[in-house]
Amino acid sequence: MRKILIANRGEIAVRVIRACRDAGIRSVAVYSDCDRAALHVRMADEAIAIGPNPPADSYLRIDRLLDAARETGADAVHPGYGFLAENESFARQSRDAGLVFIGPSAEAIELMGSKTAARQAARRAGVPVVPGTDEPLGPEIADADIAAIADGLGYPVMVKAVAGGGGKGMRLVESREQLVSAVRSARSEAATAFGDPSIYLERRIVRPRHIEVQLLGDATGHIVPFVERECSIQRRHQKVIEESPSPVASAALRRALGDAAATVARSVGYTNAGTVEFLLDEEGRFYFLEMNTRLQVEHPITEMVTGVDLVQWQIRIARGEALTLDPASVLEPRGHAMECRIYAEDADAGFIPSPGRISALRRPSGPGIRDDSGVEAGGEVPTFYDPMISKLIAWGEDRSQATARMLRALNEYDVVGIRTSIPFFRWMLRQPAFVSAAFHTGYLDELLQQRAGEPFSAWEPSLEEVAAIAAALHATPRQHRSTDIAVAPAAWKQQARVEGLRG
Amino acid sequence: MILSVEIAGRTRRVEVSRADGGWEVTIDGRYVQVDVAEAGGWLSLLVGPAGGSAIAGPALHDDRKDRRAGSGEAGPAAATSYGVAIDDRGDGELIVHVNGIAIPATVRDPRAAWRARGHDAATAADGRTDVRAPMPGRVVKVLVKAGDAVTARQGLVVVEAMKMENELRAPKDGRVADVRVKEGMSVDANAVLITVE
Repeated sequence: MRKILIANRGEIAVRVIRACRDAGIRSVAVYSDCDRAALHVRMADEAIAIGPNPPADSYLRIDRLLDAARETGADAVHPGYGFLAENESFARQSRDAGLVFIGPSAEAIELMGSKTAARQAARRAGVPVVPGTDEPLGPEIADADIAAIADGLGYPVMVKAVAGGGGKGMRLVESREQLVSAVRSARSEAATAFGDPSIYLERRIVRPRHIEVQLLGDATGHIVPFVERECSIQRRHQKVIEESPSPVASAALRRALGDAAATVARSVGYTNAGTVEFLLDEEGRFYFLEMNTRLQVEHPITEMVTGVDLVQWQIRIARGEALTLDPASVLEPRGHAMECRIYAEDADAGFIPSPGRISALRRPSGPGIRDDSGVEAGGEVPTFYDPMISKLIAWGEDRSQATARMLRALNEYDVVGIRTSIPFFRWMLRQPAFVSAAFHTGYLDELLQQRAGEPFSAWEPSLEEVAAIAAALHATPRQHRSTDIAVAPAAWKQQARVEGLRG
Repeated sequence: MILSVEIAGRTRRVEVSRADGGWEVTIDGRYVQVDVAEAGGWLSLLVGPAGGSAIAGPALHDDRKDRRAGSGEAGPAAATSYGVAIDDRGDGELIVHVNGIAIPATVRDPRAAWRARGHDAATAADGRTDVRAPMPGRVVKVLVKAGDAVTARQGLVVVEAMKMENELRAPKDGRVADVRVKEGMSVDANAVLITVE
């Protein structure tokens, strides 16, 4: 493997480029029109245009990506996450074009892509699943029949898209009256997002925690599960903060989760990186939820607590190397890590997207901090794609040190020109329930509902005064300044020096 | 130069003038000294304590020492350091980043405001506020109709942009005066969607 085409953009493209560079492999970036000057294009060894801005015309065009691989002489393709990462057709066509697809087989993607087929696979492997329907409910199934199934499961129930992922096509239904409209809207969202309106039902686990297990599998069938991640801080079913290890997982639970995840993966002949997601109920029982057949957004926290470079291993496995990791050492966390997903969103205005030009950017660093960012000062955040601009990761010897470092880094982080979700995270990490880790997947939505849109940004009166002074200095016309303010301190110091000598 | 700066509903009167290479600032009648340096698009502000100085005391003129309200002693007065960046949205609307915290501010020249007062009063009396699209997108749902009474922060319209559905809310209590969009319509950034009065 000498050259990898990265079929993605933003921070994950940058992440894969770095792994390529570490391995001495050349990287090829692809870009849409508005991404011509994006960070991933400038960092890659080569770059090639793949079309107009809408994803359907560029980053989702399998034909153009394969053409780009041929034209640049790439011998492998990395899909990142999102876009075509879980598209079995892309994996299959890459393979047919003679490219190494850095990920699982097309067959594994297809199998696990159907959430009902995945449930059946887990059940066959002897892993508990959330009670629910094991067959897809296509659009031909009458509302009355769906209502009968829901009655059998007992409310509340979750309506989920069979082809789902990322919280799309998912509805919580508290009572029978809400069912029909929830099914309708979940179907319509699923049809738009995945091209398949089929849904299935699951009993709603009360106040569950989201716990997931990263794993790697090689071509010889060797599967290694990693220490778990907890992703219970979610807004509208989207992960917002992830951490590893879970604050509530005992060593025994960790082993049981790892065994269950590996069993599911083994049963489908899984290779490369994947993640098995579970729900943990209040009694400590876990249930298989789904399997993500790709590198996850939150993979860095696992890297931080195990010291393993997951993207590097994806490449090595795809190259045919055998997994030589010590299973015991990757199941045992070293310290604690957490990740905040920084979005170009105005958290104070109900999290509306805030695209635009980043005029200045101060990124945090220092002990225990890793900032996987896809943007730079002067760059544009386009309106066409997911508004995540960076993943801020903090590591500490324990959870409280990791939290303190994360807060320090969030306070250092300054993005000028667009609004971001940073003020929300500064607030979130100080919530008593976060500090004591007493949360579940619905916790944040409940908390936000109570706040009813109250802004997260807060400041001391003294900062407000400084802001007023800075605003006034900024607005003072040039002719009122005897010299540019940039020159001021030097002149002032010199004056002081002269006076000091005089004294 | 005298300016009025409004932050979070409070207006402060800020007078700034150059002095000995630094800045002398009077904010709501209190005197502070500010040293400003630029570093790669960022400003460093060293703000002296109220009535004090940002630099070593003994080097000051006597008249400056006299202005130190109550501090009396001649020892060095520590300045507080602030990192500042200014995001100028035009029309006096700024987002001032102080130590990484984004603080929206509106700055006005009171004399210019005096001239513009007639116009402002008319707008206020009318009391209509437009709810605009924050970016290009598609209207997914219209939650109100003309004539509906609404309360502040009540959802008015859902716009899909950047793959996310965003609910735009009422800026204040009032009545929906005008609904200019329909479900399924594409809208440009800043397009007026709904007017609340």
